[in-house]
Amino acid sequence: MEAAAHASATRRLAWGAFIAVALSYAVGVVVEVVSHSVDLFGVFTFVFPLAGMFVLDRQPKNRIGWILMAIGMIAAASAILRSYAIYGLRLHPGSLPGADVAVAMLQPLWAPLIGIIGIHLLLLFPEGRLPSPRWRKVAWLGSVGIVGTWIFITLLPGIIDDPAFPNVRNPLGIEALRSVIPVLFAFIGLIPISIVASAVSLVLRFRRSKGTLRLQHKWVTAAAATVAALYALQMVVSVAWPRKGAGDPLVVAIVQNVAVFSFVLIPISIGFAILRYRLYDIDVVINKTVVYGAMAAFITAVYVAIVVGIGRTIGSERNIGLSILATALVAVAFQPVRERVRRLANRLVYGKRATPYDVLSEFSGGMSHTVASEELLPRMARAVAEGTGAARADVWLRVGSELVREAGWPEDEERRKDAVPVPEAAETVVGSDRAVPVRHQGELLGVIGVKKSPGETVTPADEKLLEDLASQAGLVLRNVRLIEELKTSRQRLVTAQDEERRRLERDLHDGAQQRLVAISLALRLARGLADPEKDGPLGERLDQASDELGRALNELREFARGMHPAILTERGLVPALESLAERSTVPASVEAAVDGRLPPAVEATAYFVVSEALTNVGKYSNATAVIIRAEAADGTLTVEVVDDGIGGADPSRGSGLRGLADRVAAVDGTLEIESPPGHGTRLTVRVPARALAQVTA
Amino acid sequence: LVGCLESRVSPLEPSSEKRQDAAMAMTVLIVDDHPTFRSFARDLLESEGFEVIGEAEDGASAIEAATSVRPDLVLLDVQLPDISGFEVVERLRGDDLPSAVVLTSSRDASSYGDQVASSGAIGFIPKDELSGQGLRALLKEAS
Repeated sequence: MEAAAHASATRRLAWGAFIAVALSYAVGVVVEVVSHSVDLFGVFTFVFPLAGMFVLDRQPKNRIGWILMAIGMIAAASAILRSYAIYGLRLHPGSLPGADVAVAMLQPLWAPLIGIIGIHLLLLFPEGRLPSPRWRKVAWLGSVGIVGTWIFITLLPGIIDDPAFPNVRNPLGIEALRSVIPVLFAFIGLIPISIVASAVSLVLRFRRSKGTLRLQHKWVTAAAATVAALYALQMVVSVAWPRKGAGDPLVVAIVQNVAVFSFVLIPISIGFAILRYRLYDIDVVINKTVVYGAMAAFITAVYVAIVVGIGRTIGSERNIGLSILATALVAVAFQPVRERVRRLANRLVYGKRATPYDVLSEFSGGMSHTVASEELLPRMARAVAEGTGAARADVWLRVGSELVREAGWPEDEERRKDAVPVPEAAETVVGSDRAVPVRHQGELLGVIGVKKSPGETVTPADEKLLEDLASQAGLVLRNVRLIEELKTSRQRLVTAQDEERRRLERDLHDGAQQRLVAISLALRLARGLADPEKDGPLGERLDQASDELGRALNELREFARGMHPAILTERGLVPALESLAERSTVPASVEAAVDGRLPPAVEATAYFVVSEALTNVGKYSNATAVIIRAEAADGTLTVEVVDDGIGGADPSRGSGLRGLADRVAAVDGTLEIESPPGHGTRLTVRVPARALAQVTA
Repeated sequence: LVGCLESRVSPLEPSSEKRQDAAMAMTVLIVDDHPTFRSFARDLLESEGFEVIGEAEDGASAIEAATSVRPDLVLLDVQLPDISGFEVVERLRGDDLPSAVVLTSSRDASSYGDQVASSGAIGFIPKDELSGQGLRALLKEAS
């Protein structure tokens, strides 16, 4: 409440001050009109208090408002004093009292005007606070310089040094000051020193600034750059069309005036920056300013060089041929130069960031070229991050009722495949400052989200880029999703197949095998009951039946094991591999570093590949030993089967490995065979165990 | 076929002489969830001079029976409906029961890797190769 009351009191005070300043300007203009000495430049300085009033009305606490207001007051005072002096000394000498006092007071006003703009405005921009307490020294030093200079010059004895009012002796002059003139120089010297220091503070502040603050700086920088460019242009034009006799050529006059009055852009930009009005369009404004400013400079330079430069050497400046030549040159060079300047401007404005246009065109390029689909989304995330200058960008794919993070920039394996339920509004995906939904024919396919650095905000330009990208990304996400669905369905097939085999093995064990075992016991019981004397042939038949049944049981066991070994289901990969090694026809050893269980599909894939490999080793390799290595590390299971046989195995020929290669691919794995003739065979399978755990879970 | 054999085999009773031998014989507890197997195994072992003093159909009742009847030998199926045969062995060993345990299964021993060797059982015999002779050989090996 107190703060609010304070704010409204400040606001009232500001309005009071503004009205006073406005009245002073009005009086100043009236006096100027009466004294036939209207100074348009002075009138235009009214933009300062106007901007100040806008700032104070919305941010009563922001001292920049008061500084702008103070500048206005000084300018207004200057106008009044000036016109009073002109009236009283030049138009109607002696008609006004104290006209010489007015001249004396007018004289030193440049010090506070330049000083406040150059020191306090720079030091306090944009929040109205010093960057840090140590800058207080600069503020004080500057203030001492301004006030000292102001008072000293006001009281300087002798003839006032003003070409507009010659031979006016300072009525306020104090003779004693004549002996301490060096003190004045010291005071004056403080002003440029403080201005340089303040400019440094502004640069430092800009470099440290982020987000909105940076944009605020950019606005003022853009204004300052424009003013500087126009002043430079004005100088070029003055040289190109030198004053001839009475007045400047019209072109020169126009350019000069535009340049001179362009300074109003500074208070306007300060007002815009502080009030954050359309702050976010600044990148475009600066960009265009740089491009058009540079193009104007280019055209002028060509004209000056050809028409004036060559014209002077051949002694004819009004040569129509030269003008045509210059025009032709400008016309030919315009487009290439503009392109270069545009790129330069982009670099200035966006830095390392690509322009939104570049991002879009690069992305579309990637889509139409043969970029593998798994690379498309990471590229998209990267394009988004670089195009918006975001700290991170994520591309989420909708899978059923969930959003799955498919890609991110910077890359982050840990967070890949994170899943969240599809939010009510796609715009609110966790961990994003802004997210846009990607749709294809109305169906939500995914979300692109960006997270800015702390203190930075998503600008309308970022927003536009995101939306443009999202509208192009529909087809991409749809393709990626189809591929993902295909992969998942392959994995589901493999998992289902394993499950089916496991069930068959168990059914065999619980059913047929148990019954055959019972029969086997029954046969032996019967055999025991048969009397060797009387039932000789029966006993023989029973023995034959028992043997046959024993073989059948063995075959059934082998069949069941081939279907899906119980040891794999119950004990896991390493014991299963050990049991494979035990039964291998070529002496085999197992070296394993696998802790705990892996997803069933991974275990089964590895097991069957090793089983098939051992069969092949036994059949074709002439090996004397084979080593089975299994290692699960960093989320990947690597299994190797290495033999010391004849090598030269052709993975594409015949063997059951081809079918297994498909199976390995279905679980996102790879299968490699190295088999140089005479140097044994090494088969390597790699399966991502972590990723699969989520699919099969 | 099995039903036919069962009807032919089940009426067979061990002869009275063999019953007398059994008084001196080793006592056996048969643990398996298939009644057919239990009954055939009982007949077979009794025909070879063992005394089957109990049957159990799952791990829990096996432990209970073993604790109460204290057999010399437990013929234990690996695949039981509640807990695995290996776990039963572990619990029996934990209870300090003196009974020797022989594991059996319709699968072969290699289907269980090193589990058979590392369990407290004195050996493994495939179900279809079950015989009193085989059991005695394992017991002899163990003692």
